[in-house]
Amino acid sequence: MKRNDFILIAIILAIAAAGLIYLNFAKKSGDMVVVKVDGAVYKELPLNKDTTLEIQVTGGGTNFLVIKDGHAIIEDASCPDKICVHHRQIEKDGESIICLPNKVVVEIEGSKQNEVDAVAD
Amino acid sequence: MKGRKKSKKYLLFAGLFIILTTGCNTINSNDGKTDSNTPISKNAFKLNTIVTITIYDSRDESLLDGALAVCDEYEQLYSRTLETSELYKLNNGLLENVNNNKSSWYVSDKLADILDKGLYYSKLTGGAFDITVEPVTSLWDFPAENPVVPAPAVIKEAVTRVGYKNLSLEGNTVTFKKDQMGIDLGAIAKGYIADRIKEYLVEQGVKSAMINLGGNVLCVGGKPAGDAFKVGIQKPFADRNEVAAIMEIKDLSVVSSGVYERYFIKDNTLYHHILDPSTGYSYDNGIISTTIISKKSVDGDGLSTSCFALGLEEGMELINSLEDTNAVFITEDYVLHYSEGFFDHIQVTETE
Repeated sequence: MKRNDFILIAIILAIAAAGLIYLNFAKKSGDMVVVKVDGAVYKELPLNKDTTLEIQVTGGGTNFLVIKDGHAIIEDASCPDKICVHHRQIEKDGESIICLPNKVVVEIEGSKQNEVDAVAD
Repeated sequence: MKGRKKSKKYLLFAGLFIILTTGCNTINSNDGKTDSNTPISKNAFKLNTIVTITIYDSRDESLLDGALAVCDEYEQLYSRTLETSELYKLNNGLLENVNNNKSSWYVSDKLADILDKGLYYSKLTGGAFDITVEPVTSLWDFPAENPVVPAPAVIKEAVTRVGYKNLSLEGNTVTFKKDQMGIDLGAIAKGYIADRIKEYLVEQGVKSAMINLGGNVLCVGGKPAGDAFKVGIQKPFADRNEVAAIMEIKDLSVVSSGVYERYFIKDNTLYHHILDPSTGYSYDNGIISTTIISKKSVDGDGLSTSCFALGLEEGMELINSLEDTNAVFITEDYVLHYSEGFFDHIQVTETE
């Protein structure tokens, strides 16, 4: 085998390794915040990027979503009961904030395991 | 030239290596959506709450739609507020009279069946739980922006129209023995409907699923690998989804009632949605939440309200007298009270 062969192999292996690392990284940071209004997907946002979103529902209602430091929270809303605003921040797979009056669901699709499958309340 | 040939061989190997490593990884990194172990789930706003159906052992989305259709079917029968529902028509005298008797009406088999269950719990608790509480419940609007306490005289009058003993159910004939009576199935309908959804899913061959009707939880089997589902008990008044305890549950129903679900505070008094049929005001007996673990969800639903109404001692006595039924009550001091033999049947972890 010539020196060039080794170089070629080394380059190809390096590309493969880089690909592996990239894909693994992309997988880990793939957590999403899925916003649904009355059952239909309204917006999907990455959980690892700080941002805000005013969710506008038919009939004029609003929920103000804030994504910060890998958590999602509703900071303000037009609904009368404000249960969604009082909900603690969410980050784990399957966790959700629900606003019944506005029919809004903010749900995490992620890699952090949730410790419960359901909560009775 | 020999070297060229060899290097081509290595190139081939290296190429294969790339495909094998990165290629496979691409499929796996697809958020697990194509992974057959990922459950399928759908939620929808129904029954004045959020309904979530999750199926763990099938990829057939039509099963989720079928389960939600069961909700719709029963909402059309049991809703107190929907003007097209059979219950609304019964409460407003719009159904067909029996033998021209102005206070007797024909009801469908499905309405008769749940009324029968409701009457059973009304009798079991001596009216502490009462399905004829509608004249009182319709006075209160707990989720309103500016909720108001109804005038005492109005509540007092409404209470005179409450009483399950004045409701008669014979076959498909319902008779109101007093004028202006009304039925509210809010305390058992979600449990009853959850049971119907489970029947539907089991008929379709589903062996692992979770039915969640706004916190009324009913498990079909356990997880596909044989593990139990982990079901949390809501911590009263804490932020939503913070749990007081986590239980391991297989094939059972878990239903909670709590003062924290729908309430408002006015003049330092907490008014919540679990109303005493004899006074028209909220119960105030030291309990802030009850959780029932039972086979049928309708029993869990009926008992969670019944125990609330009966209080800690009598409520626990009732649970201990029933087979295959367990309970956790939380009192104002945030102490968890368990029914007899609870730990023999259910593995539970209290959280900090």
